[in-house]
Order: sequence, then C-alpha cells, then structure tokens
Amino acid sequence: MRALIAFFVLSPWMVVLAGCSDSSRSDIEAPQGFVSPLSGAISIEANSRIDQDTMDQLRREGASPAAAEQKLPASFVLAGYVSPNAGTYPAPARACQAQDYELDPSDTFSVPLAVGETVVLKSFGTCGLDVALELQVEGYPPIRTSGRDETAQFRLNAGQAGDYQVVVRSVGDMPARYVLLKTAGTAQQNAAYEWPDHGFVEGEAIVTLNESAAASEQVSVKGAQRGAPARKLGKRTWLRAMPTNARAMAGGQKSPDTLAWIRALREQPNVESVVPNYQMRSQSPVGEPLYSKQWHYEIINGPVAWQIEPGGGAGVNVAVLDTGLFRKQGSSNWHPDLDRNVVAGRDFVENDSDPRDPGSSIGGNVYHGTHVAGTIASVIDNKGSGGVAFGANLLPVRVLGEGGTGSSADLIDAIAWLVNGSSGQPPRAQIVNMSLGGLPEIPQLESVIAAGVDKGMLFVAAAGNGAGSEKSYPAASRNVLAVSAVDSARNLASYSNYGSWIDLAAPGGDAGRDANTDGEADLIWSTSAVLKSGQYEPDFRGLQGTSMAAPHVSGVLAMMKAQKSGLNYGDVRALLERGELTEYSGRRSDQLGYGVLDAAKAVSAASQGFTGPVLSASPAVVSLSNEGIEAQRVELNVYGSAPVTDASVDSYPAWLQVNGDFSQEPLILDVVLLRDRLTPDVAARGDIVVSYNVTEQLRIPVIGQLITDEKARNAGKHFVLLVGTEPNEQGVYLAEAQVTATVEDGQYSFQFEADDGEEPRMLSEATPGDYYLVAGTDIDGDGFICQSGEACAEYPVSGLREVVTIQAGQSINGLRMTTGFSRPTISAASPDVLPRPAFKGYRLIQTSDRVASTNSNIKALQ
Amino acid sequence: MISFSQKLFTVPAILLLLTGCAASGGAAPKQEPQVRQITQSAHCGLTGPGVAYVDSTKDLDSFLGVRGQNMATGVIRQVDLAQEQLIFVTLGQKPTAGYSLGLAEVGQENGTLKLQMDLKAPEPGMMVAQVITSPCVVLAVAGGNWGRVEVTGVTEQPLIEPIKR
Repeated sequence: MRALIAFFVLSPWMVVLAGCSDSSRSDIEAPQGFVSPLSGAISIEANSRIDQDTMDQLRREGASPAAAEQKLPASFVLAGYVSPNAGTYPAPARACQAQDYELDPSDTFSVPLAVGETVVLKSFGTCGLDVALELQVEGYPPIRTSGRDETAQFRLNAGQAGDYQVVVRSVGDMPARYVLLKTAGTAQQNAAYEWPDHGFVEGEAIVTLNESAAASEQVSVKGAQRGAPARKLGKRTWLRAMPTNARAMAGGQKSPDTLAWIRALREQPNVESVVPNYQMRSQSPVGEPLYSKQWHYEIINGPVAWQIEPGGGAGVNVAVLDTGLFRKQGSSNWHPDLDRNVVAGRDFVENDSDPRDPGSSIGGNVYHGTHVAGTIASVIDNKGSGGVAFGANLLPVRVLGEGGTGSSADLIDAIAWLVNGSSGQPPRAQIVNMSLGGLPEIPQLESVIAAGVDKGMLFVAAAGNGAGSEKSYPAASRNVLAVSAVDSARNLASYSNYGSWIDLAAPGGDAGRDANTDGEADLIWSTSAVLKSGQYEPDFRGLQGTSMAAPHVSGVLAMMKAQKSGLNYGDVRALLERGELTEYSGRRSDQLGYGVLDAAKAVSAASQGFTGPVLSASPAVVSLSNEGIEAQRVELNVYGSAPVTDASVDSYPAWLQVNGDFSQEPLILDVVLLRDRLTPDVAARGDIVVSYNVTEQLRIPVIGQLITDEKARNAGKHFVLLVGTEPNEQGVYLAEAQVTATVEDGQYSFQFEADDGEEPRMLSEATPGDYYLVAGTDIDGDGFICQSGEACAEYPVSGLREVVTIQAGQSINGLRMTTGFSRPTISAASPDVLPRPAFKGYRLIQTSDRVASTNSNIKALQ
Repeated sequence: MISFSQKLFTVPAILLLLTGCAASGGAAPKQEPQVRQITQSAHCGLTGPGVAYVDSTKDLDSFLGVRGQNMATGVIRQVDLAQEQLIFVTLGQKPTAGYSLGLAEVGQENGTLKLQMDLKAPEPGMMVAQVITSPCVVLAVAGGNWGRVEVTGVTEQPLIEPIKR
C-alpha cells in the first residue's frame, strides 16, 4: 500500500485515481463522444532494451532473423528470443498456447566492455521447460548457461576496453526467452526475474493490528476469525489459523485459498499488515533428510561450524578437479542437489566447456566427481543432503576420464586455467579440491600450484588409498594440504596412506567397519546417480576413500574463506600447525598429521583469530544513481578486540560528497551523489578510502550513474489486458479485452474501447466489470505475457495488483504503471508482495476467439 | 559385506580340492560352450576375488542385493536363466578407480570351462580417483559340457569353481 501512495504522488498529472476497490466515484469523468472506458500510460524501467527479432517481428510475413548487430548502451537489461528451429509449442500446457514459433538461432549485439565489467545471460526456456543457451564474447570461448537459474556470466578480466561482439546462441532443441544484462550497480544484477514462489504454511497468517484496534481487543480480526485459534507473537501481532468456513468456500484449493483469505484480511479496517506464515527452510545440512546417515559431519563438528558461518561459504568458488558432474540424459540441469550451486566450469579431458560426467562406457559408474562435489556443497533444500560448505559455488573441472583415470597434463592445464594468468587477474576459484592422486612429483605441477598459492588459492588433495607411506602427488606437494582418511571412531581407515607428508585427516569411511555401532557400514554419503530402468537417475550413495575425506577439508576452507577472504596458504599452514584446524593432541602423527579436521575450530579461527581491529563497511558496495538512491549512509563496523585509532577519509571520487562521523562506533559515512559531475549514462566507479591505525586501509567501492536513457528505453511490443480477477481451473488468468501498444519516446500509451454491443465484439472492447489491468510482452509468441524473461506491468504496482472496476458510461483515464523485466521480491522493503505458486503469466486472447479491432486509434492483436 | 564375500568365495575354494579330482577323466560328448559378456562394473560390492555361478533367481537376488553395488541390474535380469546361466567374476576390493575386468578368451578342456580374463589396472604413476572400488564382470554361458570353471588373469593362481549343473 505504501508503494501505491508513492506512485500517485509521483504522477501529479494523473487525472483520475479511480479503479481500486474503493469507490470514490467523484473522480470519474462523464463520457463525451468517443471516450475510452480505460486508458493510461506505461513507463519503462531504466536501461530496458528489446532484442530486434523477437517473435513479434518474426511472426510477420516474410520476416527473417536479423542479420545485423544490435548496438547496446553501456548499461542495459535486454530481453530476447532465440530458437534452433521453427515449430509449434507443445499443447495443451498451462504455460503456453499451441502457437507457431519461428527460427532464430542466435542474436548478435555490440556491447561496450571495459576490464572488470560483466555480461550476464539468464535463460528462461519456454513452456515451463529449461533450455540452455550459449553466451559468446568476441575472442573468448562460449559459456553455456548452467545452474538452477540457467545463468552464464562473462567477465572481461584483461584486454582493451571497447565494443565487443556478444552472441547469444541457442544450443538446445526448443525456443528460449532470455535476459542479457550488463549493469553497473548490483541492484539490477541481483534483481529477481521470476515471480516469487516461497513456501508458506497453509491456512495460517501473521496478523498485525494497528494501535487502536490492538487496544480495543482486536475486534476486527477476532470477528473475521470466528474463534479460530491464534497465538500471540508480539504486542500487536498474532499467528492466526484460517477458519474452516473460509477453507470450505475455496473448494479445497489450498494455496490460492490461504492467499485469498490473507487478501481479505488486509481489507479489514483495523489490520495494519497480514503476511503468510512463510516456511523456514532448514538452514544447515542438519535438517536434510540424509543427515542421519552422515556420521562424518558430527566427526568434524559440522553443526557448530554452521552456526558460526550460517552462509555455508557463500561467495567462495570451490573447483572440483574430478570426473565432472552428473547430468541426467536430456536434462539441462545438474544433479538437483548440486544444481543451484554450480557455476560454469570446464572439461580438460574433452577440451570443451561442458564438464558433465559422461559415465563409464563399460558399465557401472558411481559418478565420483558428483559425490565429491556433494560433500563440498550440495544445497540445503530439505531434500537429499547438504554439503559442508552448502552455500559455496561449485566449479566443476573435468580432469578424470574413462574409468576415473586422467593425465597429469590435463591436471596442470586445469590448474593453470583456474589460476587464470600470471598477475592482476583474480583466480577462477579460491579453493581447489583434488580427490585424485597416484602421480609422482612433477616440476610443472608444482610450479602451477605455487602460482595459485601466490594468488591466495588453497589446494587440497586426497592422500591416496594405497595403505602405504609412499608419497602420492599432488597431495604430497608442499603447497597442498594432504588429507588422510579416518573411520567413525577417528581411526585411520584401513586403506589410507600415511606418512610424514600427511597434513590432517578427515572422514573417508571404511566399509569394513561400523565403528560407531549404528548398524551401518561407515561410508560417506553424498550425491551420485543410479541406474533405474536403463537410465541413470540422480540419487545418493555411500562410498569410501581418501577421495571422500579431502572434500570435507575443502568445504571447511570455503567457510573459512567466506569469513576471511584474504586467508592464504601461509595463514592456513600457521593455523594448522598451531592446532587451530583440528582436534589436536599436541603432537603431529604420521597417520593423522595435525589431527582430525574440526570445522568449528577452523571457522572460528578464521573469524576470530585476529586481534584486529578490522573495519568493515555495510553496505560493502555503494551504488548510487539519479533513478535509485542518491544518498547512502554507510556504517563502518569494528571487528577485533583492539581499538580503532586515527580513522580518516583519505580519498573519494570527485562525483561524491562524503561526510564522516567517527566519534563513536559504528563509524558513519554519509555519501551523496553529485549528479552534475557525472557523464550521462556512463557508470563511474571509484573507491572511498578510509585509513586507520596508521597502516590499515578500508576501500569501499562506489558506483555512480546518471541515467538519461528515458527516451531510448524499449521493452518490446506490449499487450495490455483486462483480465478476470479469478483464474480458471488450470490457474490461468484469462483476458477479457486486449489492446497492443508500441513504444514511443520511452513509454507506452493504451486505451480500451467501450463495448458497442455489436457482434462480433472487438478484442479492444471492454465490458463493465471487475478486472486486473496488466501489460507485458510475448517475445516467444507462445500466447502468454509476463513470463520470466518477458516484460510485465501490473496496475498499480507489479506484485500488488488491485481490482479496477469499469462501469457503464464512465471513463477511467490516466492510469500509470511501470513495466520491466525484473519481478518483485518479498523482502523487508516489500512485505506485502505475496508468493504466486505456479503463476506462469497471463494468457492472451487467441485470434480465433474473437475478431481483431479495425479501429485505427487502437492497435489490436495482429 | 566382507562376511558375505568370504562366504561366497572361500567356501568354493575349499570344495575345489574335492571336486578337482572327481572331475578328471570325464568323457562326455564334445559340445562348445557359448559365453557372452553381459556387463561390468567398478562397484560390484564384492570385496574378495572370486568366481560364482548363478542359475537361479534366488541366488541372483542375493548378488544384486549387495549394498553399494552399482551394476546394470536390468540387463542382468533380462537373461533367461533357463537358457543361459550367469558367471560373476570379481576382482575384489581395489584401492582406486581405473581397474576393470573383461572377457578375453573362452575354451573348454576336459570338462572345464576355461575363461581367460583381460584385467586393466592403472599404470604406475597414473592419476586416478582415490575411491575404493570392487570391479567385476558378469558373463552369460549356454551349452558346453563342463563341470567346473577355471578363470585365469584375475589372480596369480587360476580361480577354480566346481559347478553342479
């Protein structure tokens, strides 16, 4: 509701504010001659652009995919369409109509790129199916979209700034909608492009009453509840259960039912806010179904570590140098318990960018790399298992081929690729797990690992399963942590190597033992795949080996890196030898090195092992623009026991005004954008440098933008619909009237016609009634607008649509809404946005349903 | 798992001494056995080297029910045990990936089915996944006139299994 008020204040020219369920009819104009029953304008989110050959263009007779490069500005959010073939969308489907689609194998753009800038591609597939795409920047190998979000990222690490050719290419067998974006600030990059669908408890809501109602015995809510049970959560807040009569009325449809009841509660006069009782997801591997089998997490003190590092290593890239990852045949996703954490990797066996594990040609395969990756970072999703660093990114690198064997040349190549050049460029991964071994000492391998260590990378390897003390490389390398394996009684596993070169031990399992007497062999449980009906399906299994021990250490290092990004091999070595990473007896042994890994000790050593002081900025990156926030307060928090002395602002960019208040903790910086000192539409970057304690410095990155692209914005041809307020049995909202609008000077205008009573009724004719007013693009031509990757506007604010009532003989003019490719998120700033379970967009009226308008003023469906 | 495999493979090894003598001097009519490879796996879950003959669904179930095995059970179950019987040859537990067994040669001599196996193992100094494996191969055999199986190429001494057909 707050957003709605802000919106009206921003649109002072608006003639009429009617259309909501409150009936302030005095605003409504009397009809004079031809008067539209409903009209308005749609403005467009900053930097929105549209691909030049979406289905809107390709559907036209004689049209063919654009051959020319489309030039893009420095910042953009572009929506597009590609397809490897022409065909018809599968039907019947809830998320698309059986319409034809056209061939458009790739889209080519010219994008200005400077070193350090990133281009992001997100594929949304079509008809509810995931479709992988390829992003290729001129002079660089193509990157395929991956992960749950089907995302690919390219960062220009070195080279010349200038216009680069960027190609988005179809590699699947279906059309796909996509968003290509390059933005200076983090806001648009982190924006949601899919409708929110959080889980909530059916039949419950958290209700907050306003002050007066709370004082007067909560009349309204009690009345609405009819004695339904409630639990007091706060002074004015209750957890309410939905009364049974509200349940019965909705005919057993649980989700819409709960949400409808919440919407009804929000209409109550004394209610301040009502939100669903959102389900807590388990926040650590402890809540995952397989946890009861994972004795190995207790051994390493995992649950305590996850309390200290609740993000589970978020933001840290862990490379898994192994057999690649399992991907079900025909699927575009990795193993479902890994997919969300997987970032683009590489295959050095086949020398391509697809690190999938093809399995073994000769029979059974346990998907070794998938198992190892799962121990490091399988996701927390109340399914399967969680990894030690469940929030970290998995970077799969395939170096082991047929039968789990590989060559040292591929390993050296792979590490060099991860190290990413001699200087200046950041490494591709901070942690490298090598659950492989058996190599001799190779000088080239040593030097490439040393180069990585120089860049702050941490290397972990399996000690080997030879049950001997002969050195096995890469584990025995001086720059690699060598991990031996223990069983559930913390004894060296029967197969594990040992020797003077062992650094520490971690659980690797021992199938021949049940040392913890839980009735199960001591195996390490993680992600894998099993053969079912002739096809490998994602699953979980127990394995044993030092291969299984090493990823426990890699996961813990990822959590340590998340706590302290500057942690280097020297720091880790020092902490290890001081017994800070392990359950340490005080004496190193050849079996266990410095002892069995203790995740809790290690993570707290990383977070607290420094006396400091360390200053940390919140927010860590400041992003300012004339269309976003122009002023930002930054808090500088002090970490460590030692005091901060002599803090001062050393320097900051000329396009900022910075005022500091360092009189108390937290230290405060007030940062204001000076827009007249910025070049329009070019993102300016700089650092605010704060020095303290003589030698210490804190650099706070700042991005400033003066956006002046209002007139150049284009989100593609829009369909503006009046849809019924209730979905049909399939959950689809159907359009009752429909007009189209094309962009003019960076915005769209639309108007509906009054129904003249003559048959056939035109698409643009609106009859009196209650509607939602929505608009959006259908760039893949599947007969639905507002799908992910398509522009969408809802009146008055996306995510908070309200009923518009059209009455006979009356006119509502000047409605305004804003369209864009991003979707509202449920956050502290927008708590009123509700989840939309399975919402897939609004269905257009099919041309066969009704006749298109011939009124020249109004463009109807083509 | 260990106790299972010991039962399976050590007991026949003792029997071999008894049946080895009895099998000599068989003078049955010559009939060539037909042997084909059904599947192989690096994770059969059988931790000792050995050979086992399976001619009933019940026996087969006990093999395929071994915890941790990852064989292509579908193709094994497709074998019609009335027409063909199964022979499991296992390499036993190995310290790493990179081991596999395949059928190289088949022969029949004096009532003994002779199976020469091709064992692949990682070369010294080769980079391998450090996971414990238990490779095996599954064969289907039809016809022939033999009362025991001799498998060479898996262990230093031939593995010999007396068979009651």
